[in-house]
Amino acid sequence: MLERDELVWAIPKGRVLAQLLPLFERAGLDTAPLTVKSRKLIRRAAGCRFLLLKPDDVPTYVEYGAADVGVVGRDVLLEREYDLYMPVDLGIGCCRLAVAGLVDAAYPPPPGRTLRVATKYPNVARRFFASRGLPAEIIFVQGSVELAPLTGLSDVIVDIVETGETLRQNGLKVFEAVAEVTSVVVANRVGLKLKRARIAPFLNALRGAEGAAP
Amino acid sequence: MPPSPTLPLAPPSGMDDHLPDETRARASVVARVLDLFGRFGYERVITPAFEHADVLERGLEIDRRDLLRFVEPESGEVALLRPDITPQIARIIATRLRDRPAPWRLSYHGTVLRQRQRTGRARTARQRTQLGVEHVGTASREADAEVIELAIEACRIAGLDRFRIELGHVGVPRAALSGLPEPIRSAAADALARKDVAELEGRLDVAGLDGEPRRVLLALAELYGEPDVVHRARRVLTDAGSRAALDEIEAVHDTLGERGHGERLQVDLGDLRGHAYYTGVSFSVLAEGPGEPLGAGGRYDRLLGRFGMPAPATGFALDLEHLIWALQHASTGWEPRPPPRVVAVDVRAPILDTLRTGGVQVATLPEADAQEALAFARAWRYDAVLVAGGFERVSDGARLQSPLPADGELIALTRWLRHEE
Repeated sequence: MLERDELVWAIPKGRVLAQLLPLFERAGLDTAPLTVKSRKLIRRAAGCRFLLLKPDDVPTYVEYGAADVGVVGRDVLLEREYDLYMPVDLGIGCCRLAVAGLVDAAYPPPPGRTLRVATKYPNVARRFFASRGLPAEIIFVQGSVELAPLTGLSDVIVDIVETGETLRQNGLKVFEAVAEVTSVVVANRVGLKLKRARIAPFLNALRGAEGAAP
Repeated sequence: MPPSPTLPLAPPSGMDDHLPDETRARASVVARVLDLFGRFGYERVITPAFEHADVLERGLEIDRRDLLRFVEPESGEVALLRPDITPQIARIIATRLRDRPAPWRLSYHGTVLRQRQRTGRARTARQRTQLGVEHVGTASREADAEVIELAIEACRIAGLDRFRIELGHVGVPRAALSGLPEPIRSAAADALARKDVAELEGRLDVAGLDGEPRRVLLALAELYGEPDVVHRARRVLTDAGSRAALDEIEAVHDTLGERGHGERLQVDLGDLRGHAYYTGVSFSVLAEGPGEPLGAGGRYDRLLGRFGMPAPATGFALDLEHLIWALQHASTGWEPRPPPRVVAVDVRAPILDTLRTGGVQVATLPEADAQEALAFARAWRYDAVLVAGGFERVSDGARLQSPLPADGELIALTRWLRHEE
């Protein structure tokens, strides 16, 4: 009785969307509006609305309640401390955050100089090396992180590794895993409670479908 | 010294001003809620903006990185801008009001300050306004129910209709977590707090935890919703601690149900918010709008002991900014109608006195002509301009030739100013 009728989903554009569609279909969500070629950022479907967002922005929209539920990778959630529920792990978008560097580099580094780390995930990297008791200089870069050790900007990188192909082609290798990453359903703290009757069936269906994707 | 040109004039990030229209609306909500608290016997107190850190921190369960500390120059001690008012109330009761007979019922209205980490969540507000009560000295469920009912009535008197109260009890997750080995426990508690079942399972796998404790923890992540989850929970939670906690939730639920609030209630048995602080039934106020609870409260029977006067206690605080956000979201015409407002140009003092005595807000414009007065009235949202010849209504230019309203005519004037004639 208290619920607004429409459920608002924050959907990440890009890599994970293709893996997400079959799960959504199996959970009974109308995904047709998500596959239409269009530049519209809001797509309407029966009983819900999809917001198409840059993956990093999904938790922000859900935390503020601008969306009730969303799908996002754990890497984004690890980097910033969002206040969200994460009721379903979808088992898609699997990859890991890892420390990587030049194939012939010494790791852990010999003592004597502060380790330089280039990364898009400064907080994850800072926490990881702090937990190892390794002093590290964290260098924030926006992209093409692999370039950093090749050019001498940093000794190692902390980045997402999916197949390892990009690393191989650039003469880098993984030294150590930092965290396993999958895509999860996130829910607003209040939205999940006030719209429980509408959200719960989808969560249960998605839970049944999890990991079923290729 | 003139202000440095490199410093912006705007307040530091996370701090904000409230301009007249907004302040009027806020003040009206505050006045109605504080008045309500008073009618339940909660007496208002005012506490200092900062105190010695070691005093306040006894009663806090806030991430330490969120605290705004500084060295107080006079004593050289570390001081803390208050991030919460409850520990101050506890200090007052345990010291200055200690000799009064129980129960202590106090209310407060004030700002709290917290640092927001750059690495933290998206929200960055640092100054929040809280409206709250504390009820100290009553261990029985009547106090829990009274405080929750007061939270419900406070939201209603503010003008909110669509909101729910979510009940929890820290005893339930605490009992379930107590069986875990120490290194796993806090990680499992974090995962449970986020209802992150996959992460929780992973942690339990690492700990090699099987059987009953595992089943209970995983169930807790799903035990939320309508109050009937308490019945479902009884089939899963069989230990004495959990059963006692469920009994307490049920008792509070039933008391509130008898008072006609049953429809508003829901339950989350996996809620861990404030778990180091609360000791019994806790609750949150949920409404659409800000995306966060409007307020929260619950039983905290161990806090007063930290100030040297062990006593049972319960209370809650509403976040005024969130409450107003929810009111605006519901847009139910919650904003109070301001008194009639008039700009006066060249009007004799006795007339101004009559109007002001009658409750009309009158601002004089000594140096303006009628045209300027109208522009002023429009910008500052006055209802009408009064010149010697009579009133001109700002909204539609209508005129009323009644320069000196007699007592009985003030009501007619007010109705005219508000288009109610």
